[in-house]
This record gives sequence, structure tokens and C-alpha cells, in this order.
Amino acid sequence: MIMKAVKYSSNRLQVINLCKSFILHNRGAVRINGFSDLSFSLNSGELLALTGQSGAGKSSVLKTIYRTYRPGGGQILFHRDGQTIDLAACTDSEMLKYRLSDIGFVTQFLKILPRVSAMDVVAAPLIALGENPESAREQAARLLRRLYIREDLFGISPLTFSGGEQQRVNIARGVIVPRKLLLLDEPTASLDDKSAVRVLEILHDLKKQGSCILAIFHDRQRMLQVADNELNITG
Amino acid sequence: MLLEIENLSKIYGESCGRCLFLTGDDQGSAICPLCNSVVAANRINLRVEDNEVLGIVGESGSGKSTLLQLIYRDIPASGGRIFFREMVEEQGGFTDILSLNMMDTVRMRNTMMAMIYQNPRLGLNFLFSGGGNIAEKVIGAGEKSFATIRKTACHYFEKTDLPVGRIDQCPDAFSGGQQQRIQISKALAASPRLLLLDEPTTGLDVSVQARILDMIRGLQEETGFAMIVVSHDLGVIRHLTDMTVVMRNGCIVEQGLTDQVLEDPQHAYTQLLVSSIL
Repeated sequence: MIMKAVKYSSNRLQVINLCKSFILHNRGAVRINGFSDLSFSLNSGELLALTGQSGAGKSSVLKTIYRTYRPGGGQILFHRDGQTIDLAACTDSEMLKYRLSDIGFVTQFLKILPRVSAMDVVAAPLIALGENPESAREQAARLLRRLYIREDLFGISPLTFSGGEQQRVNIARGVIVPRKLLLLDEPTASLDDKSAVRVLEILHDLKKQGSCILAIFHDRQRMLQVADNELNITG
Repeated sequence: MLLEIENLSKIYGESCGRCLFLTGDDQGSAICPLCNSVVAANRINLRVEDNEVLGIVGESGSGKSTLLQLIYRDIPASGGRIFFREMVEEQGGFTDILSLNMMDTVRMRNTMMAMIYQNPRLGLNFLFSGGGNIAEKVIGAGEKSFATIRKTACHYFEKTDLPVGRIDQCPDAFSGGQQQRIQISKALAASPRLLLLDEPTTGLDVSVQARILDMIRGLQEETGFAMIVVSHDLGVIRHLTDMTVVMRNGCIVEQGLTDQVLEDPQHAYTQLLVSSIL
């Protein structure tokens, strides 16, 4: 289970021997291995691409770091404001706080309530951090425009949008607050070239601002345009 | 911490003294084999921070509602302690709210903690008007001016989308969804730091349910009180909560971030529960 060389200086994120497996109690307690002994590190301003076959456990790695999956062993050291936090060991309350301010996750599919407009979906993370709702909506609109979402769709639920439009709304929501750590699961999978180029441009901007990004790409060409390192996972 | 629960237990019936150890999830039953007492809460430990929304799920009879009623002091506990940050002793330490006298319990319910019941008959006085129910909390908090009390009641009626023109009608005259909203108004009037909700939308049709849940969520985000929500509906839990506790046979069998409990359930019962979503 190894990967290209990674630098071990001024890390933002350091993952050490991370493991995840699933025990399915209602299927005779069968144990399914997600991934095991995964180690890598990532600096501020760097993008590390996770590669590997479908089913190798790439998405599981992201979900485990975000604690949607409970880590099975190992450490996830997150360096923040001179402190080092082990995300695999911190309490749920602490994790909630880090999710609110420091760690973002753009999942593969948009999961939202059907009653919320695109603009409000995107503005929500800013408002949660105390931003004035008017200004948050303005910033959301700017970001949606940048991602080529038509203005007349802003007030409509994204669940009525096309797959590519939904994905762009999902990305907008994930990047509207610049995060110290951003996890991206196939951000350009169903986008046309024009939108995909815009997304890569936004990722470059975030890197410049010091975000560190862990991403899965389905398209190798696009990955190479923005990734600093590659980590190949074999399941 | 806002609320901290330590070893909280509730036994219904004459306890033989060994009930807590002979029941629970490991034993597969909440009924004591020696004395037939029912252990509805078995040494529960739980912590809630400011602003957090905690969900409690579990099958009927798992002890979810009992836990809420213990916190709100509707029923006496059999053992354990509950600390609530808003209730401080004169010396500055936290008071175990299980030891509060009636006066202090009423003060706590009027100004710091509120409960919304599944059945509006438990949460509202049906002999008082809608406005009168809200006034009860406002007066309890020390307000004496009629004009101010009236204004406050109107304010909360408006806030929960109730027709202000009907403020003097009794709860009987309102629909089920409106009765729930009167309960929410009444709860808000206590300006709670902690809001307890026991199946707040069970039995309401889906469109009314969605409106009420959206309203509760919006109010929580706006005012930042913490909530404990009991529901058997995982949709409600997903919509409202940050963290989830799973109960069975009077015990907490699993707790975690809500997305973790739903996507990576650890306990056999939680896995069954999650795989049962329609």
C-alpha cells in the first residue's frame, strides 16, 4: 500500500497507519476490509490525489478522515494554530467544531433538503460561522456565477438541477469558506470541460491561500493539472 | 459542558437491588429476572455542549422518553446525577438538578429549559388560551406588566406562524400542527438554553412535519440553544441533529456523529435500524 514520496516538513496533515474495516453483524459478523496501514502527509498549499481502482477504498479514506467512518486504528494528526490534534481520537464535539471552521468535505453527490434554494445551500456554511446572511448570499451568488450556474436558478432547489449543476453547487458549498483541510470526492466527474477548468482554477486559488487538499479524481488528465503528489491505494 | 448526566437510572417497580446488573443490552432485556422491575434507564452517561443538537433513537420501550422526562424532572430518578450549567449553587459549584426543590424546578422550567411533548395535552394547559399558555412562562420568569406579557405572547405566535388574531382561543380550537406550534411558542418563551423534544412531529402529515422541523431548526440556528430530540424516525434525526445516541433495553448502545451513526453504524442493533430505512 504505498505511494510516492512525501515531504515531512511543515505538515498540515499527517496520517499514520490508518486502518478501517467494517463488521457486518447482520451478515454473520463478516469483516470487510476498507484499507489498512495507510500513511502519508500533506502540507499547506498542497494537493494530494488519491488514486486506485474502483473499490480500492479511496472514498473510505476521505470519510474516515472526516469521521463519517469511525477510524479503526492509527492516527490522523491535524496541525492547527500551533496545536496538533488527532482527529482519530478527538471527541465528537471537538470534531463538530473542526468541521464547522477548518475541515470541508465535498461528497460525490449533493445531499440536501428539497426545500432549500441553491443560493441558501451555498451560503449556509458562511452563515453557520456567523457571517451576516445578506453578505453570505452575495458571496454565494458570486461563486455560483463563477461556476456558470444560471442566475434564474439561484432561487430554486438544486435537487431539480442536472447532475453537473448539482455537482457545481456542491463544490460551491464546499469551498465558500476557505478550509485548512479540504476533502474532495470526484469534484469534476460529471462536469463539461468549461466548468471543470473553472473548478481546477478554484482549487489552484485555494492552494495559494494555504488550504491543503486531499482529492479523488476520476480523470487523470485533470488530476495532473492540479495535484502535487499522488498516493496510489490498492485495496 | 451544558448538561452532564452521570450514571442515571430509572427503575419502574420495587427494585430487588440487583436489577441494574441483571438487565441491559448485554442481558437482552430491560426486565429484571428476579423482581420483574423494568429498568428504563440503566446507568446512562451523556454530555451535551452549548449549541449542540443530540438525537436519541431506539425502539419503543428502549427508554428514550424516560431519559427526557428524567432530565425535565417529570419523573423522579432511581439513581445518578444530572448537572446543568445554568443551575449553579451559591458556592459556585454545579447543582445536581435531581435534588432541586419544587420552586427551583419551576424556575428552571420557566427560564432555562423547555420541553415539547409528542402529545400537546402534556405540554399545554387546554383550559388556558394559546396566549395564556405562553404567558404562563413569561409570568414565571418574573414579568408583571400585562402589556409586556401580551406583546411577548403575540411575538412568539408570529414567530411560529400562528394566527395572532386567534391568540385568545384555547388549544382545542387549533389543529394538531398548530398545537405543536403553540408548544414551540411556549417553549421559546422560556428562553431556554436546552430544549427537549419528545417525538415532536410524530403523527403529523409530512408537509406539516417538514414545516415544523424546518422551524425548529431555524430557531435553533438563530438562537443557539442546545436540543435533545427523541425520535424513532431516522429522517428527523438526520434533518435535525449533529450527534446521535442509540438506546436499547435502557442502555446507550452506540453514540457518535449523526452521519457516522447512519453511515458506519457499529452496533448490531444500529446496523439493523439503519438497514430498515424505507
